[in-house]
Amino acid sequence: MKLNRREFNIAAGASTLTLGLGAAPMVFAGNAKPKVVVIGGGTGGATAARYIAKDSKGAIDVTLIEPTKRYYTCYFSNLYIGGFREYESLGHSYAKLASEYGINVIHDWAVTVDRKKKMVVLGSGSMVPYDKLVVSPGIDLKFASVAEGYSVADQGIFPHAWKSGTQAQLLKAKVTGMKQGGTFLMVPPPNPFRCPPGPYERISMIAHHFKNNNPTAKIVILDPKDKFSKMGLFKDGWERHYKGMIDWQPLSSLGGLKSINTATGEFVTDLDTFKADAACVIPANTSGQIAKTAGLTNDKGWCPIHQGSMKSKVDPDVYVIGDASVASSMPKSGFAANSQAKVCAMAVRGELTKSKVFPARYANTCWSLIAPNDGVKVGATYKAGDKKIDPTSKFISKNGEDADTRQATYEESVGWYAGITADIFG
Amino acid sequence: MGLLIRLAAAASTTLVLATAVHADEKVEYGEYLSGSCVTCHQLSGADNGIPAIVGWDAEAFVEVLLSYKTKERDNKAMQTIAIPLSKEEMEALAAYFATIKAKE
Repeated sequence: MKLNRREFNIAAGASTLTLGLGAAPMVFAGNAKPKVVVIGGGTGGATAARYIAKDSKGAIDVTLIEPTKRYYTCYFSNLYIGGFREYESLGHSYAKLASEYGINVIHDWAVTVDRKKKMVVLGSGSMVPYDKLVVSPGIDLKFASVAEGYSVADQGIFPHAWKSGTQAQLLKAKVTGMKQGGTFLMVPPPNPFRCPPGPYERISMIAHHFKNNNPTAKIVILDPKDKFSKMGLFKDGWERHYKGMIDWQPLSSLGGLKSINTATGEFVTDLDTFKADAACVIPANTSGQIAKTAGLTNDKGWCPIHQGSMKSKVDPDVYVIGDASVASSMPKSGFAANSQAKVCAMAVRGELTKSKVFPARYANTCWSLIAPNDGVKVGATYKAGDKKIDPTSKFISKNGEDADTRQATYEESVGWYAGITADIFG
Repeated sequence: MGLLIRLAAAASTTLVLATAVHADEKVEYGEYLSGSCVTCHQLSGADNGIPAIVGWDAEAFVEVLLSYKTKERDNKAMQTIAIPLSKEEMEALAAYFATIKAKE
């Protein structure tokens, strides 16, 4: 349901022109509307901004701080790598959030937060005051944690593509450009990380590309984990569709990853050295940096929250949602971030306008495409438990499901993508 | 532009209708619960691989959710969603979605 902001703003005497950086809708004198600032215009932040603006019906001033002018989703980027989606289909504009919901979208970085003064300091030097702050910064990557010889300087050679956009395009180019019969190597991240099945869907998509374009290519996975999300489903699918192509090895059986040589493509473990012609290295994840500079993280680098509202345990005027939050047992995913954003939006509105607050409900579904029309999913519904977010029911696809079920599962994911991006960006 | 104006008018009508019944607590509760439905079942009524559920008869809506709860109907995602829902919550969802008109 879209609030017609044009009608509201004209009635209120405010300008409907938002020209981007620095331009805010004019407000009439004596306005004491409560202010919410959202840091991060990804899946969590943009959803929170839209729901707070839409459901408060103009009673709350919403500002969204996001450096990029076009959001490229991480989810479905694997399908782009596999050749199932066009790159531009992953991209979404902030225009409607600005023009139809009256959100002040500022394309800038939040570099620090003064929580005493309740002010967000932007990279450009401007300062944005808030009554309530929603922080949805996603992740940053711990490049130094992978192995000796690998740093942020190397992400252009062995991309992580664990944030979408240019890195996804680069990874696709590396995959499609790999020599015939070459070896593609992936180092997935250790727990906890965003999108638990993601690296393995990515392997499936790369294998699909190789099957059709580079059939003698090989894929090696050196995993810091001993098991992974939907492992049984992926291994079954890889055996059926990509027999003999994919070799998954836990690093625990190799004595750990000691060093990476980006010039020679050598990945050295205690027991063996692997030579890669192309590679994807996904470092350990941590909260987006602003969560740390704002003082919202614990000693593990993630943000503890109250499970009924997503309010930070560190500061009652700050909420943290999405990947950066400690929201177990929910996984870190786009679906989860969008779900948490709605609970957060309801809680924020309740605090600022005394609107009704219902008990928190959360949900998540993660779809993965293994091969054309062979999709699997895992998901659950949740409520706020005594200590954390607890599942109320769960499901996972099963091996041996018929082809129709797997095709329907894939088609649901396509419908979901259209639905969630409309839900986030209007 | 004419089509856009007509679409905007239809959307405004929907908004007015929804606002008028917003005083109804069932619809308000249903709107809150619908947060986890609308990422798949689009409010616009668009139908890409996931059926539209806007503007349904409220009783039929509840019947379908109940049949997922009892696993009479097959889809695992819908069963997972329906199982923790009480009849009251299903009725609230039904009341809310009944107020939404699909965009033509």
